[in-house]
Amino acid sequence: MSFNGKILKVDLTSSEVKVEEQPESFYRRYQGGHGIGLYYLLKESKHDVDALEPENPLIFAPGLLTGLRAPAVPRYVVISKSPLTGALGKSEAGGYWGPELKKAGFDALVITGSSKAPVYLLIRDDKVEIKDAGHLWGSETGPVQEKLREELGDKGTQVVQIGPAGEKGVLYANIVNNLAHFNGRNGLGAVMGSKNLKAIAVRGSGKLKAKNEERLKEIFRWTAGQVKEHPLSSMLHKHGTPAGIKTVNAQGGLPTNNFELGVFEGAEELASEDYSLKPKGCYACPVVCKRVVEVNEDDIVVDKMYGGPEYETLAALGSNCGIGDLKVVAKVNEICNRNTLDTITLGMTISFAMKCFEEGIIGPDDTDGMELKFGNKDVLIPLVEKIIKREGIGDLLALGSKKAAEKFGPESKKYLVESKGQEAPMHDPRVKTGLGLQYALSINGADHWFAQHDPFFAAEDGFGVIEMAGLGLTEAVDPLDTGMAKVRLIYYTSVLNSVYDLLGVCVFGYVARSLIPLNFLLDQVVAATGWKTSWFELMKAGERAMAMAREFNRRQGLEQEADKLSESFYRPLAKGPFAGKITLQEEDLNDAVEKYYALAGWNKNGGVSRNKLEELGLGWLVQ
Amino acid sequence: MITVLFKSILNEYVPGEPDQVELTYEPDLTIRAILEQYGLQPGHIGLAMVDGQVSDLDCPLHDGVTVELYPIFGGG
Repeated sequence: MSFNGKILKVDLTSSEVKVEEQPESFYRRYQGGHGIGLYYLLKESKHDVDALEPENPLIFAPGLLTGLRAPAVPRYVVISKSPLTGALGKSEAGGYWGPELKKAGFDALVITGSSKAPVYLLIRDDKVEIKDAGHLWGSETGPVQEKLREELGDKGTQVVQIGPAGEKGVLYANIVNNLAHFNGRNGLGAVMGSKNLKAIAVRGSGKLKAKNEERLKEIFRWTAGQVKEHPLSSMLHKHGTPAGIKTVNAQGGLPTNNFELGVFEGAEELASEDYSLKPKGCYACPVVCKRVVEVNEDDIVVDKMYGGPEYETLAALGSNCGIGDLKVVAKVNEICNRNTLDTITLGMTISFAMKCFEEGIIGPDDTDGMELKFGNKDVLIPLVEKIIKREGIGDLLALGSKKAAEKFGPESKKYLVESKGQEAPMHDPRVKTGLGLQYALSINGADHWFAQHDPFFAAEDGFGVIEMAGLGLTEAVDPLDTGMAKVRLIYYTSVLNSVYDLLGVCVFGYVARSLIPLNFLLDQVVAATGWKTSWFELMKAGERAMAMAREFNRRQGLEQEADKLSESFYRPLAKGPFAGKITLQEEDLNDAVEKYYALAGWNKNGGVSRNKLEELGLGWLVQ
Repeated sequence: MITVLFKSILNEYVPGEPDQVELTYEPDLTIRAILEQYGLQPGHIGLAMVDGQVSDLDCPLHDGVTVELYPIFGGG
């Protein structure tokens, strides 16, 4: 089977370690990933807990398929209440840690309480220890991983950890495994830091055994054979996500100067592969989409140990701050990775401060004398260091743009670009409206993988329409449409992406963004579990997890009013093919959100109806 | 004559250097037909432009135009 039937629970206040056993029916209902994570979050958390209080649980949960020798299913989720948004915190990562936890015999790790002094968790199969981390506290991620592996005498130990930004409570600190795979968003590293938990080191000697190993091998071999042939996976394999910069720039949707322009003159340099050494991948993934970057020049050195900047980082810290110097962006990426900072929220918070500076809302007295102007690359590194240390202006910007706007004053708020308090990723809904729906509806704040992306469905012979016809998405949808066709596309594919997260799927391995088709994914679930399951049952499981997430947010007081976009998105872009045109209307977007509620069986306030909860077997959530 | 620019990583579909080709003008020639000639599927293309304006794949091309083709992208 692809699961162990065991959940590890650790209370850091009492130092109690427990193992809870779950029957097969639990996995059939909640699968893995955020299904299991949300189950425990809803069971264990109080309604009004602050995200940084000990009572806020922090849950790590690999997907149902994670740990098998199956292609592109390396993912695990971290679930908690987000200190950045006050809503659900949910962030996925690939890498190697999730598979190792499964091999150690656990399907999830539920952490509650808080340690008085810094600790790390050591999990070696069923032996679990809470160990002193006083000697690691304050250290960056590279030295910590090296020290732990050396101390434990095992280079195969997988380490998930926080850097100094998480210790200092930067509200967008993230969590990293293997130095380059991030649970990037929602500030969950600050939750880990609030628990005085520096790292979780895992080593498992077990092996998950699928019911039908041969079928998994067949699909793995097919994937490995096709990766370099399929147009989408071959692009990812050969060039990684940075290759997207040029297309998005030509479309007029490359976030530039705090999402004002859409076209950036330095895009060619940001997309350059000059410093890219080699591709790097995740556990059992033939796509191998990540880049390793190294710079060895007189003015800047970038350490290859920490990977390299992806599309999101290149745009957030590059074009969106008006900075086209690839070496500087790669260096800031390295600093973020050493210290565990979310590069998207960081870039967006800096670009927001730059816009406020240029508009005269704040001045040098507010910025420790720094000229926060778009394109001023000289301020980037010192400013990021101040944020990590929470010094001067860095202490305020460590709270994210929305909280900074409270200090900057009401005039600044029109320059925010966020939803539910989380800054938008690097996809502009004014050139693909589906992203507007994604940002508004995403349960954990603006997220670009709540559903699939519009361009794949723009033509009837596009990859999305061809591959997802089996879900009922048989027609092309205009990227600027906001009617029912777009709502249906986003609704169906948001449920699909929820299924992906339950299973541990990486979107860069599977359709519509990559090559592995839906029927092969279903085959893998059957092969892994032996269940006579179907896409109908999987989609219901996807809906179930979304309903639980929605219910968590309702308990935090978030309903329809939270499903809105910043007014910035309703202003026209200033450059590119869409310059001066209003392509997204607030009324249309809000109408589309209400249509989505109706399709999902949610009520007019965006809450999940009692009937829907009961249909999904979530009667225990009905008050 | 029609100039076609295979931008970004689409240049891998053009034999040799550079990423620009000149095609003899033919009536009713479309971008879709050019894609087929170079072994590209329509799904490869994220953006097609003719003389700097966004174009669909089936629009007949006039003599003297410049076509720019960009690979599809979504979700970084």
